[in-house]
Amino acid sequence: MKILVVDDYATMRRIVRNLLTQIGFTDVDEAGDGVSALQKLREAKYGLVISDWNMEPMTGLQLLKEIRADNKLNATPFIMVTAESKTENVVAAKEAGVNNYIVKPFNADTLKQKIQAVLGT
Amino acid sequence: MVDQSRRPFMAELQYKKRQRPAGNGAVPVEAAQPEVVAPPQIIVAPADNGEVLRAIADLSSKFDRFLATDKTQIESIQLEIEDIAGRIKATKAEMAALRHPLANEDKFQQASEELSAVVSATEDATNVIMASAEEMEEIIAELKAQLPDGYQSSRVNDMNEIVVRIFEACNFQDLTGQRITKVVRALSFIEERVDAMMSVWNRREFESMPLPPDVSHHDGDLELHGPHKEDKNKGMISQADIDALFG
Repeated sequence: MKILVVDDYATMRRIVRNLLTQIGFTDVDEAGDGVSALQKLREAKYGLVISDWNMEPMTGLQLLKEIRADNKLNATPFIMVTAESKTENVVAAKEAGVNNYIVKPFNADTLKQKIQAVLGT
Repeated sequence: MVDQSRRPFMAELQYKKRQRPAGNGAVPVEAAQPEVVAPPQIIVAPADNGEVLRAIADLSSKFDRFLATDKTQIESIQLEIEDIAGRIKATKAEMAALRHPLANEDKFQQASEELSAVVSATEDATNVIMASAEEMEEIIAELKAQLPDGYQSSRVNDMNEIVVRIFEACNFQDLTGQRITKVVRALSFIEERVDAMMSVWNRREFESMPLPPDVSHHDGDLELHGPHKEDKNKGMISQADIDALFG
């Protein structure tokens, strides 16, 4: 299964990629913002999107809404990994159709649990 | 008796002319004589000036009260105005200390640059840590492939868990970066507010104020800058430049 990691911060993408590798997911692709992520999603099939929220020019929430509004992509599981931990933010993401939500900092176990919960494995 | 020998005044003649009936020719000399008008009779009535006197007395009393009691209030207001003036002056001095027009260093810009340097330095360090952990991960994978099950293989697995903890710990970089970015934004906001407050006053008023104290560290005559980015314009040179100086 191919996973798309979306974060404007290259170091964070690297961290997530390494943690994914450690928990058994080696087919990982990266995007630096919502716009390029959306482009990648329309070009290839991904089994999961793990995205940051606070990005320019398209935020993680906007990316999520675009995915859910697209008939071909709307079934793609989406996990938000972000430092935004306010209730209204989490609720807004949930209402937009996020499958799970991880608050930074996080560890490999949390990431593994959330992925398993989303994928039903 | 009317003096018949007096020549009549022109006004008297014109008056008689106006009194003459229409169509009648000559006017007798007697008729041209002016009539004597009795002076108006002056009636002297007793005046009641009591009301005016009472008003003057009332005004006088008010004026006395103003002079006696309001003087302390005026003094109090004067003191308050002096106090406000002193506070405004002190506030302006504080604003000048923050952003003196003649100061060589912009403290806000300096603080923002230092914080950006912190983000940059920790990012570099995090990438080095990550790259090192990735190399360790590869070595661990090689060892695991070579070693038979047993104590050594078990310890190699322990090492792999430690590598995972290193990756997890590197999360800090993203969070500290975001926090520092928030601080930089807050500094920028304060800077704008200070500028706005200073724009209310004349720039020259701040120029005349004392320059803010120098907060940098000194060793004798030498200023100590602490960590810095290489910037030859500011006199900061690289290790290579230093090595070159030592030949």
